[in-house]
Amino acid sequence: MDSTVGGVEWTSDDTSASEVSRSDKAREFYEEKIYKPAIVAWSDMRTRIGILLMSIYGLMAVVAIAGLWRAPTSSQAPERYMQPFQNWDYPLGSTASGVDIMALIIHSTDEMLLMILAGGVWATGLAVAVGTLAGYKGGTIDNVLMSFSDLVMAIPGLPLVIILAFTFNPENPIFVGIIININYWAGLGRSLRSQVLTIREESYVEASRTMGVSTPRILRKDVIPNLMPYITVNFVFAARYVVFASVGLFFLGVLPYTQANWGVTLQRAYSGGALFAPEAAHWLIAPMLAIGVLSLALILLGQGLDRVFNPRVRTRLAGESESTAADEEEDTFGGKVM
Amino acid sequence: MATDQQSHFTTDDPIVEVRNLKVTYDDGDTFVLDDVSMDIERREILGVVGESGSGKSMFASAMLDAIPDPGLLSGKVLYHGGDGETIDVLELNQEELNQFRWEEISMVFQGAMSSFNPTMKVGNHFRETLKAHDKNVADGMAFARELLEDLYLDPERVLDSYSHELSGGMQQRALIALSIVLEPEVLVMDEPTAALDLLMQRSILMLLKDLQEKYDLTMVFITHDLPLVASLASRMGVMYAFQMIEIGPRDEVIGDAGHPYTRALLNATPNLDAPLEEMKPIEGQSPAPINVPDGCSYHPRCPLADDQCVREDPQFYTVSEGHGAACHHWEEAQDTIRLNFESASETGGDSDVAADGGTLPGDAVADRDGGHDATDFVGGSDGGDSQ
Amino acid sequence: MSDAQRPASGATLGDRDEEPVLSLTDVEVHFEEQQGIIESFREEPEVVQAVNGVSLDIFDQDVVTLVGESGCGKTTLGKTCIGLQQPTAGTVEYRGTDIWEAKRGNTEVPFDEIRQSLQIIHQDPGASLNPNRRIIDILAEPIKQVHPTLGSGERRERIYALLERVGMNPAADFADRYPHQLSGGEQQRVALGRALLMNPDVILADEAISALDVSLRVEMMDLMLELQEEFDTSYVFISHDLSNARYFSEHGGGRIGVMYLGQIAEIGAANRMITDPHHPYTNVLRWATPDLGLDAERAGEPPMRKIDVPDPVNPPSGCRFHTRCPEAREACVTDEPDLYEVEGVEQATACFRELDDHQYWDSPELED
Repeated sequence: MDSTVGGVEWTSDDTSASEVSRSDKAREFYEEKIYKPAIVAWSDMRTRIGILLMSIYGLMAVVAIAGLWRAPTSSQAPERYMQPFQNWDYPLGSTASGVDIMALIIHSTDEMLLMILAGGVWATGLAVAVGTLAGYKGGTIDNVLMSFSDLVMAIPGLPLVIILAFTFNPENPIFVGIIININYWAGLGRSLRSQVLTIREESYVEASRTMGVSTPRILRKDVIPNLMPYITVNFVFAARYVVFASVGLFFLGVLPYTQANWGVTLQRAYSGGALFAPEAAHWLIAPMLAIGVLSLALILLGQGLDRVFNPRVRTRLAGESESTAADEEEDTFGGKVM
Repeated sequence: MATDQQSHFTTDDPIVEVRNLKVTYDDGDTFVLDDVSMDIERREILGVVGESGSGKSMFASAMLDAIPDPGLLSGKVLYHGGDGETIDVLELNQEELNQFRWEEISMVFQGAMSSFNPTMKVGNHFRETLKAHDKNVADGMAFARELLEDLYLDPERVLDSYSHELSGGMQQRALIALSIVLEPEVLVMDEPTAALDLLMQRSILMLLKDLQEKYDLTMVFITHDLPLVASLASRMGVMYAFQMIEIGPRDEVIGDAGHPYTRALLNATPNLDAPLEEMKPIEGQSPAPINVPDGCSYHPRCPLADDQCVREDPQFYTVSEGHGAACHHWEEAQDTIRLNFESASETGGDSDVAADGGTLPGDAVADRDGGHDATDFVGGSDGGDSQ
Repeated sequence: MSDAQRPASGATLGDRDEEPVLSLTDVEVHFEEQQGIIESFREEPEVVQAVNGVSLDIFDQDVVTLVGESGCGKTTLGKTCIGLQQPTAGTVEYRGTDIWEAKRGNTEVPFDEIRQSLQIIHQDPGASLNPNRRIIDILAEPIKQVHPTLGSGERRERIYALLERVGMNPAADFADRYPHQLSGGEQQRVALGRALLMNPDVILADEAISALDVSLRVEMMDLMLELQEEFDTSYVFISHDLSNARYFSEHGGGRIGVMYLGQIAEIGAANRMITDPHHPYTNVLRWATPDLGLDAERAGEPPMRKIDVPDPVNPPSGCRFHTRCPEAREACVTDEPDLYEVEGVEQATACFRELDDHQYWDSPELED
């Protein structure tokens, strides 16, 4: 293999460069993709709380799957309408039929998480694909994709979901998640497209085009990374939407009944008169809290995650140095230093 | 000793006196403005020159007490208003400061184009400014129209437009009018012509000169482009590594600079007349605030540096009346470091003759009329930024 | 008409007999205004004539500088040269192959090859580097394009070698940084390195030094010219500043082309253009360039009648400069000049005053 290109000796003084060992690569990957984002995420109080709360849910899901807590069935508790925090075997008390509320909460978690993940990925993934392609390519592709997504947006969401739910009777939580967000991607795709229109005109994108870099690669390396803050925030919104929509739909009975489900629990609590009877209030409050705290966790996470994708924040927190004082002047005036 | 120290920067009728101005961001370990003292003479045009990161923009902000947090500003800025009153700028409270800024000292920032609110018409910018300072809007707008006309803009058209409807040159001129509308005494400009092309730059410089004469303004023009301000300024200051290292009348700072950095800067600037061989970049880089060398901050890059320079931070030496340079070896600098544009007026010499027999630089220049007259050449229509 | 006063062919100035790397012939780039539906029924769309009939040849290891005011079309022409802008008329040929025919797939030489040989350096170094990628990734991209089979170790070696070559030491440290951690000058050097790593034949430097401090410009230009020989590349250098143009072209032994409203007003060897301009507009640019000479106090009177650039949608008839030219006469309003060679030197100017026997000399001066 020749080492001269363009008449220049390409061997540099730094001979250690050519040995890029496996461990070096692994270490680099770890640092760039895991360690530094983690520091940035952790540094922000909101994200920190968000992460902690989410890990509680994650823990509950693991417990549910591993079967470390009893599954909810009737008459399992020593008494009915047991109040919370009295019996530590049944920390959240029990329902009218003596079902352990804690079990109800825990065993809903894994399905719920799967649902919101599926819904979020569906909505965001499709939106990114459609939006970036339409925005970057323009022309006919843009017209076709946008016309299609306008059509999809025009279909009213909730009635569509209800019809689909009645038609398909989905049991699989992933399927449920996708159905709930079936046309969420269209609006998101449009706003991503307008952002791509701006990014496309940036000098570094033109430079990549001039180098002959293929369109998929430009989208992957130049366009999407700059959209990541927007994408993560919207992923979180899509996930939240699934939370509330699914609870609502289960409450209404549109989605097929499963024993362990917050929405269903709410519905039973409500129809069991928990709204009026103080001794049954905990039955209603427990799922409400579960839902509310999950939503809060998602919001907090979303707010902090966009900082992870900001290279300035990342390098500042990782303690890397800057070249000159130009950066200080730039910080103070927020404008370009000529 | 005091007179010797101060003769280079004190003037007879200063409008602003700056003493020992310092700005630090971490409680005194590193300075982004390091002990700058000087006077600004009434009705002069002062050019402040320095590279990016030399502290020149910081200097401007410090004069207006506009250093953003967490910067700490210390020193003294005394303003001697037209009515004989002296104001200690750094002692003003926020309300007084708001009144002081724009009415006494006004500032045009870098990147002026984005100083306009894109959703507000230009005319409303003027009205809001007048209202914010409790001035009579009708009178103020009449004055604004006069200013716009002085700047060869069509007042009705400009006031009724949004900023993006105007070309770059027109926006800049509108901004200059906005900064003068409250009749300040001092106008501080930080790279006002940065994004403009050649002919527009030239016209705006001439307009500034006219404005200065007509409205008795004092101007401080900050830039990294030495030749640009050379035609406008009567006095110049050169900044390096957050300090003022040379001050003096323009002719002397350019023709007879004492500090090696100033001379090197003059040689590193591309110009039309000097022979190519003699345009040399300055070796090395300007230091970051944490890396400022001990002793003379320029010594790592200076061909004349010796032990004294490494040990002692030079104070100002008097080169001549009103001209000072902060260099231990300023005389040697004047003798040994040749300025490349001097040879432009020499005949023959060692100037480079191009391979295809081009003529020597310095001759064959079109007629130059004497006198100064900014005639109706600055039109109101789009100078055009369309490409 | 005598021999030396024939219209110059394609502004090549006739001296070289090598084959040009890039050849532009009668290139026009017109931008049509986008109209709403209703407007399109009422009136014709406005057409901005950004480039109007330019012929230019660029050779190996050549330096061509384009100078002019905003809106004169220099950036558009530059981008047309390197195939980023399609001309609405005329041809752009790379070593004999029409670039746009190649894009359609109708030629022997594949478009990819052409695309790689024509590169660009932008004006704003901060915007020309992807803020989310580290320098090493940014510089790996061109290598992946040109040498896709190279292993990452070898790639890294070349990147380090390049960083050292452009004066960024220690290379390993700089390679790991993000663009915002570099100064403007350093960013621009990375952009230069990125362009060079493609091993191009022509690099368009679009106001590449305008965003740098005046004291750093000479350094950057020196670097570009040093690397020119090593990498065997030509430059099309766009600048609105005549002093920079002079330094770059003269050092590189190239030409300066002055553009006005989409046409080349004058083109010639660098030092000739500066010391002995024949076109009145070049003279105006000289006048506007700030200088340090204290003895020749540059006077206030600009050598032209108006400072407004005419609207490019509606350019003046005949010689486009006639509305502002101090030497304009009636003949200039009706006739359009070609580029006429100046006798004996490498220079051509689009002005009737160059011809001894043109009717210009008999026609009356323009009244204002």
